Amino acid sequence: MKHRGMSTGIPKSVREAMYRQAVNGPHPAADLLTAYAERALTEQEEALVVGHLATCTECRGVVFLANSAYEAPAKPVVVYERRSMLRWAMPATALLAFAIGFFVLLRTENPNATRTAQLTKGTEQTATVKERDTVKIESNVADKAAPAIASAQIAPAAKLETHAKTKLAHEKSLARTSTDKTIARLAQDQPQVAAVPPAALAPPGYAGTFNGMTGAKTNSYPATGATASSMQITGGDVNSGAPRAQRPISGPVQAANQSATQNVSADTVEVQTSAGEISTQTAPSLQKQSDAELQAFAPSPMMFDARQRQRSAISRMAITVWRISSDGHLERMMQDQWKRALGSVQKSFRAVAYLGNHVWAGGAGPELYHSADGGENWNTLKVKTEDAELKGAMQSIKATDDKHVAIIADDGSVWVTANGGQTWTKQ
Amino acid sequence: MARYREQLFTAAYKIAGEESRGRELADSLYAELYGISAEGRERKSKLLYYHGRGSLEGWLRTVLAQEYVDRFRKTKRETSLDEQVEAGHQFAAPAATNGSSGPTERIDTATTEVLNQLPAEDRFVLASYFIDQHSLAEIATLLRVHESTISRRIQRLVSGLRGSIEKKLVAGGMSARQAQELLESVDVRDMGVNIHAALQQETGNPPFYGGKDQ
Repeated sequence: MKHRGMSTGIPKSVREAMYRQAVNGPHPAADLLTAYAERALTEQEEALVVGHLATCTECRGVVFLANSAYEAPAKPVVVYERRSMLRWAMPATALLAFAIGFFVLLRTENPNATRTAQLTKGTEQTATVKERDTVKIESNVADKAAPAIASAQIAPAAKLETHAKTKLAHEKSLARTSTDKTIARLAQDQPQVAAVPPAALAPPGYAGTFNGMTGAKTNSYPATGATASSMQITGGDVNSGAPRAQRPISGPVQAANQSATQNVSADTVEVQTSAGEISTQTAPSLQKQSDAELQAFAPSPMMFDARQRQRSAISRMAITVWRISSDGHLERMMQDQWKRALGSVQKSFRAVAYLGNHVWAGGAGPELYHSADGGENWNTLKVKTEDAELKGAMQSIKATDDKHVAIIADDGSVWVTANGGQTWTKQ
Repeated sequence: MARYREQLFTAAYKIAGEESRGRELADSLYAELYGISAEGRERKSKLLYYHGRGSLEGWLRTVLAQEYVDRFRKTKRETSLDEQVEAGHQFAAPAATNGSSGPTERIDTATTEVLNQLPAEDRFVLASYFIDQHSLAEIATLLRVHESTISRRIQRLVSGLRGSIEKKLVAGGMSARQAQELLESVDVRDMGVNIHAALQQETGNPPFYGGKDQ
């Protein structure tokens, strides 16, 4: 006996009564029983069929048997193919990667674009954005005018020492060295000259660039504002000789401001020092930010790229950069490339110095090669006195101008000339 | 027909409960559906009796069930005493004697009256559960309700029957105590005693002395 699961039993009398009511009469057709099981009968029909089922054991058995054989239609099995997931996953991944790449590109390019715009907007934007920095430059020029004059008045030996220190400091930045020395020479030789054509010092074809370098270092150069009423450096296109459009930027001199900012102009730089007011014009071709300003930014790859681009621009401009290669060749930077000079000379060079268009180079022996036109033509000087000559190798060459040159030999001797190499004194 | 052939055989297996009888049942019905009579004189398909009141599949299952009941269950009844016992023939009440008014007759009369007052579906549920021994799940599936609904319905019907019969007996002059004693007589199959579980529990019981040997 199976467990019924019902705690309440039916009274015996009720069971017997149900047995008594059992009928064996005519049974409903299978069609009606099926319709009852499927709830397809009318109320009257259903009442008749149910009334019969309540008393007919056989028909109840038929209904329950037929119902037990009923198979519910299987639920449609949704087969998820792997490919269906991949079909969504792959485009989604590609879209995500594209979005990330686009975001990274925006993050990388937008600051650069902004930075580049700041660097290339030219004079007009410099007047608005860099006006304060420009004023700082001018103040620096005015503040350092007096020491410059003093430097111009000192003895050649003292000047040599001073410029030797300057040289060492300037070796870190070749472009800066070139510019500083050029302006220093201009301030020393012609402090009262209102206008000096830098093209005389620059090689043909590179005068504009050279002028830009000159203007770039105006801020750090001690100008001659104390003694000279004004100093004006005018570059411009050497070939045409006509200065390009200039736009003066005036501002009060801030004596306490020592921050350095460089504005590099490839076309024209005008520095005018006059009783506390300085006007500076820059052309929009290139502007150079100083290291101090660059350091104001957090170091980042973006900043690094900006510095690289800046240095690349400097290298393109600073054609007067010279060096001694590792294999002893004399080389100069021309258009981003190191090109060998004095290739016909079978000599291992050890030292080189350059100042404007003047270049001195030497190695072992007393021969000092000098060029006054940026390496186009060379002449050989003998580093010697009446009773001695340089026998070792030149270790370092220092030049304050085209006349005053000092050579330090590897044996510790120092050879100095004050007339461009015609006579030497050994110290 | 070939379309329903597989479903027909599947339903036959489920109804018969075994493969051989199921195949025999299905083959027989399949032949009748094609109208092959035993005599071979006339060919009359059984599908002529299908009037489309229900689905054809349901009709086929019902016909199969009818065939099974007519062919096998009746045969079993004739041969099996257990089936007869299960059918409750041994509890069949003797024919009522005219004019008798004993307590048994009075309670049978009251019970019949109360049963006749019940809706047909309630009687169908009671008969299916207590007489045919169908499970709550089977009844619930047929009536398309939840199993618990059938359970509550049966509980309510039984208690209602008791109360109604008792009222009738009391109304007929019987004392309430006597009426309750008469209604306490419950069929052994409805006592709800799980003998199997009870035996297992007795076997598993520890000795009366608590399992201690001392």
